[in-house]
Amino acid sequence: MPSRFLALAAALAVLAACTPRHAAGPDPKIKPQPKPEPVAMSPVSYLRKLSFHIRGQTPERAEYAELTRAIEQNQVDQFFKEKTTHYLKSREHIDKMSFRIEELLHLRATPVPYHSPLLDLYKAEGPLAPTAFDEYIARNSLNELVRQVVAQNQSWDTLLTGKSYRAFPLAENINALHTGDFLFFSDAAGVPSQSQTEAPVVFAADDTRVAGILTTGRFFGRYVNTALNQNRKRAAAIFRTFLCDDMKAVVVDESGNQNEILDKVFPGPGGNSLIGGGQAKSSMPDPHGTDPACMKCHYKLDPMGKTFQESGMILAPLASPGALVYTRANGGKVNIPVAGVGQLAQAITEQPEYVNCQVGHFWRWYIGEDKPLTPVVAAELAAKFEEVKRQPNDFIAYLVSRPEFGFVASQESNAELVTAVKRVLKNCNGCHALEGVPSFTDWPIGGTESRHQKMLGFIRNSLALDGSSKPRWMPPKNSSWQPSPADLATLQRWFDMGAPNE
Amino acid sequence: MNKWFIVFLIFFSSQAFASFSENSRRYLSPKDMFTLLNQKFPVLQDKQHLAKYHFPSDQVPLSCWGLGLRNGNSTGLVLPAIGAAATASPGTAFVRWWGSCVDQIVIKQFMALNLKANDEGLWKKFYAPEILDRYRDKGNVKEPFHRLTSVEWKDLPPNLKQVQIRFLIEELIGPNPVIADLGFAKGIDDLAATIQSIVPDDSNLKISHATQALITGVTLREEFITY
Repeated sequence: MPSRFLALAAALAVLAACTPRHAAGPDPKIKPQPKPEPVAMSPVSYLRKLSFHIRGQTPERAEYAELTRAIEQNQVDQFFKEKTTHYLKSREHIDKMSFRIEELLHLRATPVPYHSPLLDLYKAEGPLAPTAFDEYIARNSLNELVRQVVAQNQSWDTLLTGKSYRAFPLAENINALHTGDFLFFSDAAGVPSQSQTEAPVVFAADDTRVAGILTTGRFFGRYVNTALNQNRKRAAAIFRTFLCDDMKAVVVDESGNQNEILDKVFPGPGGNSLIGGGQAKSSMPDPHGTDPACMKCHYKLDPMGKTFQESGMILAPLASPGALVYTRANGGKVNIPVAGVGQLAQAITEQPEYVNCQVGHFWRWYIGEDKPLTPVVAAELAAKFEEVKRQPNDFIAYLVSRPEFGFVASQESNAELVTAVKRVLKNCNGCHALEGVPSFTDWPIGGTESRHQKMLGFIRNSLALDGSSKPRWMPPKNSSWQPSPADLATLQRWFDMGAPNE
Repeated sequence: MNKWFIVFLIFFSSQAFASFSENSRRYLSPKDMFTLLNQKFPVLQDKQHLAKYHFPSDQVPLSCWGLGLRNGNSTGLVLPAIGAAATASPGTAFVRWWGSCVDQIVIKQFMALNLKANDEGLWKKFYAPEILDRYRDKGNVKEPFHRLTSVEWKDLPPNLKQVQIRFLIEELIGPNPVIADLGFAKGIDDLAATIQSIVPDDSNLKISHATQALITGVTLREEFITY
């Protein structure tokens, strides 16, 4: 159709008109550009942003009119305070937080809002129809617990250390692989292992068990256990979600030969020939214990995994001893023996890394990951998190009242930008440190300004941020970390500003 | 619907910088998309207008009202396997999905509107009060606004055309300061001029059809899916 060609031509014309940043050739020097002053957004825009961030929808027209009146009466602060409180009580906010926790835990998303009558449409029928599993993921103990914590503004720790939630059965006609909460329950736990109706799960305060995220059918179903895995997958998810320790495989398969990894997992004269027939576990009772590269993570994962060992049934009365083990950023060792999942959950909530991690999640959700959390601000937030007794809604209300929330996007301080740059460059240290390359995050890199500048040139060149036509050649394609477009944009912005230090 | 037009709007805007990433400026999350569509188009809350299947029918297909495997990648849903969205920013799959769904939802919404001909509260979501007052048939209690489906856009006075376009922009996106702060258009005047070009002044479209086209145009703007 002619109109299509016209539009295509227009689009191509726009593309052609967009000159690349450094089309004139690489710029050998990093020249600082003037940085615009931060601009506060209008109250009307702030209201829309507030509504979207908390509820995922726009304000109603009447609310804009209310704001206009508040401005005329010089009561804007009071207006936003009341509006924030109102939004934080909405069903949309509760659903949105539930969705965020699903993302954090790498769970499949709930298909429709929890309270929506549309859930009735999710009944298995016909080959292309949505399955009852969709209904299950909307109604289960994990999501119910998150909603309860948010709706009642309970301590965020309740997600880990809660003592009660509601358990849900799965609808009929369900695939046998997908089972409701009740499959995972033990009759011995005082909770029926089979039920056709919702049932409360409540533990006394002195009971060592917990009814938190870690003891839900959904968590267990997502991070399934095997004889070889030995609950490490669950441990890795806990470290990632609650302590922001995202572990990646350290064995990089550069040759394309999978045997290298298998040999690490199954060391010994037979190498990977030991695999097969279910004999691996018996042949290798502690397969990772000898390889330092593996133990960089497994010293943390293995003790935590053991706390789930006796918990084939998630609420089983038998506790399995294990430990919370990790190394702090300052090099300090943490080694807290725990009797089971309940004590593990409690121990996690007592760690400063847990507080910083959760504060970081809230920061990303409400401020944005392009606004790096500087150490100073992080300390402020952690103190506030404690001050509000770790209650999520109070903390959110605080976050949206901070200036970072109300500024027009793309304004950032040098400190914020540097923090963001170091967060990206930190990923390079993993491999380059083994080659004796100085840390990319200890500035000046290499200890002197001249080496620092030389390294900046190398970074710029290897990431193809120097405007040359050469493709990016670092990190290598087989590296487990690859910079996202946002990471590259952050570095580009930093170089454009002259690569400032704090 | 002109698909190239959508592509042009979303991808070749010189100021497009939001992404699926949770930045200080961001695109709607997959959940937000459905929350917002539910807020703006009540037809999505009415089961009788929704299909349980993905393929075309006379109802809104499942992929336009429920989050799932069919639309997860295109909407930027975090994939459980990798803990990240399939793409860092909206791609052609998103454009196809969003454009197609908005098109169908708007059509179904106006069909539903006609079935609720005397539900003034619902009509007020899509027509400016001045338009409803002008074309209200006071003698017809059951269908007071039936003239909106018979009077042509070209017969609407110019000032009322502007009123209707601005009404839709404010209803779907927000007032002038919002448009200006988002920065894709200079302000509501600028955006209204762009939207107005979707339906020529001398168009023979009925007012209701013209309104549908205008609504589709507004919902395809970056301002609608960005905050």
